Amino acid sequence: MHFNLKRVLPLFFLSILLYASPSLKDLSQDKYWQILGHYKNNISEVDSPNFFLAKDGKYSPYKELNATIYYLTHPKYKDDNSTYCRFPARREWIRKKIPNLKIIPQNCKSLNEQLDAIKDIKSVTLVFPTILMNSPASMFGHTLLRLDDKNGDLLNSFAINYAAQTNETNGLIYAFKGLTGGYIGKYAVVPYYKKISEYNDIKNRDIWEYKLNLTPQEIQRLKLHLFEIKDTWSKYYYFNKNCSYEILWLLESARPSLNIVYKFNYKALPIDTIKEANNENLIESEYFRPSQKKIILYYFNKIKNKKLALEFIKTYDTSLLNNVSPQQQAYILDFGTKMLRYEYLSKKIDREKYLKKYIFLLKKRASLPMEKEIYIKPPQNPIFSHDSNKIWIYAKKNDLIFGFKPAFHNIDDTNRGFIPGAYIDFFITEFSTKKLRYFYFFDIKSFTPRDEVFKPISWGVSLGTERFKDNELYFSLKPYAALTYKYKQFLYSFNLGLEEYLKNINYFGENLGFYLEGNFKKTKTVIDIKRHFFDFKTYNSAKIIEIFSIKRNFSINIGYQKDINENFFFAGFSLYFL
Amino acid sequence: MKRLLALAAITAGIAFAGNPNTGCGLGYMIFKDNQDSLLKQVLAATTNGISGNQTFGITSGTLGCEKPSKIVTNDKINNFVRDNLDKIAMDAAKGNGESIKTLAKLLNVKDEKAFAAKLHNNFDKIFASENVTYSKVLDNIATYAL
Repeated sequence: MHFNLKRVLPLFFLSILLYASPSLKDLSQDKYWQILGHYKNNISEVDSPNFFLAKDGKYSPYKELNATIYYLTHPKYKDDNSTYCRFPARREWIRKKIPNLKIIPQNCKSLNEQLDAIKDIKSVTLVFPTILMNSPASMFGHTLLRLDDKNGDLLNSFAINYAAQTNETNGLIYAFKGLTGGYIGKYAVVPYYKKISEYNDIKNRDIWEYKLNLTPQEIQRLKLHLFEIKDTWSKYYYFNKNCSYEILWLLESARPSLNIVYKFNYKALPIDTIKEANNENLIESEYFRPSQKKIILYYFNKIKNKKLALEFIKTYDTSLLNNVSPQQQAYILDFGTKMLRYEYLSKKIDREKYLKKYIFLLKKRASLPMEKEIYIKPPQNPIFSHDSNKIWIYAKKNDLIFGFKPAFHNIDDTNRGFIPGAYIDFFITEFSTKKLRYFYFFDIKSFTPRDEVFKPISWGVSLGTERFKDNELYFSLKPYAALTYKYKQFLYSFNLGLEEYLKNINYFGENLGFYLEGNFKKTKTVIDIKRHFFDFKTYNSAKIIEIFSIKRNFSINIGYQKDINENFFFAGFSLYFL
Repeated sequence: MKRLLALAAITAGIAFAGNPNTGCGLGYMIFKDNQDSLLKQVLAATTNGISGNQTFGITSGTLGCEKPSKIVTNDKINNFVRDNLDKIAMDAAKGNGESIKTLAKLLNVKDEKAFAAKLHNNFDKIFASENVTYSKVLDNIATYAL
């Protein structure tokens, strides 16, 4: 064994120093030390070697603490590269725990510069971009942190974002690596306006901002820890070690009494992390930032002559607006310039053409009355949506049905806090008392309404195993495409689907269907009927459900169901939990 | 077979990301990846925590663009105006919006409303043509709106 006297001797004196205080072993089990090292069960979740000072620091909080203390008192490198400058949160915590320790100060130029750039932070905000319309999987969403500038300049405030690093364009490789830890995840800091432009403008996602009640002291701790993790990386896992999960470490470093990060082990859905933050009384207030599409529709709804506005965005010919009042002209131009920018961002027109028209239209707009403040009513706060795990028990004639899923939201779930028509479930299992009824790896359904301005094609796909011909279990894959429309509280949709059933024999089929859902304050009505065409048989299926939302996490469902094998009425309840 | 092909086409589309545009004037921005394949949508990985190489930019870097001459600016102002020029143009034309309120803060303008009105009234001079660069816009703002 390699024995380094120079290194052991100071530790010997240190242990004398610590004689009356808790031992280093105990100290290394202190919750805050565990948080600073991202330790869970004494193994750090950080994978990059530059995060550790001890050789096997990843597997030993004790050795890491020992090494940190050693290098604080016996610097190996000077100034910016010293342990003193690279691990300021560890340093300050150790200083407090071992007041007599002779820490040798260094000149931290880089640290001080960066701390200076974020010295005026008034608060920290948890930012939640919600769903990308017509892409239900984005419901799993994303979260990031924002360090709010003192002067209220939120656009230039720094956003802390954790993401897997890749430029992969092949969807299959992408999916596989994202699920299996094939990418590394890193923290990054960018001005918040870049995130707004990414989510609000380009991806057309609404953003919810949850302001946290962190104190100045807690914010200071967060900043110091942020500096410690800035150049480190960890393996990225889509389901549990993801963007939303990793920023929880920063929150815990700010307020160690929190108990959020240790609650997430197998999955970390962004909305669940926000709900846990809320359960820990961390959230002070919320703010809603509408997507670009919502803003476009806001202006469109102000326009009286809708036909003219739609005509206008075909050519952007301003002579069309000659007989319109100045205020209405302003609305049409605000609608038109936003549509033009939307087309440019969607790469439907080239830059040169866009710029020429854009500046021309804006000059015309500037000759009209100034705009007063606009207000877009926020939808229901997603914090009040049902939780992601669900069990259900239904009674039908002579039998019971039991079901479970770990995530997330489907047509038979309560609607509060969700955008109507966007559904995704993972690992859904349903049994009767005698047998497995079905198991789906995933079931995605999108019913995105078409309106006068936007014309999306809805789609969905499920993959799993279910009862088919002769009540036998078949492997199934069922994609569909649909046109969806909205009328008041209702969405209705005409869909066309393909079905593949695989066992010893393959069956291919098609289906034609009609779907309707009505969303009301305490109830939801769903009608899903289809006609299926197979070589051996043509038949109808139906699902008619009425969902009564009793509490946020409890509902009563009654309905009727018909498929290739059976038809029955049922009644039962659903229970949701985190 | 036809059905199988259709199934395959719906299920396994693959998309390619667009090239980011660069420059110092209008129309500088990252693009929407127009062809979100189904698989990408299934995982929604594009924007849910998977991205290209990110940087840690607590202090802002240099621009590599011509800088404005008439007002004292810092990197924060320069970066903000360069990256948000399209939005600033839109909000200036309307005389309202978050981007010009932010600009007022960055330039230490006390009366935000008067500033917005000046941008609105002098729009043709500030954004004279589609070829205007961000530094020229800042110079024009100094001339007509401060």
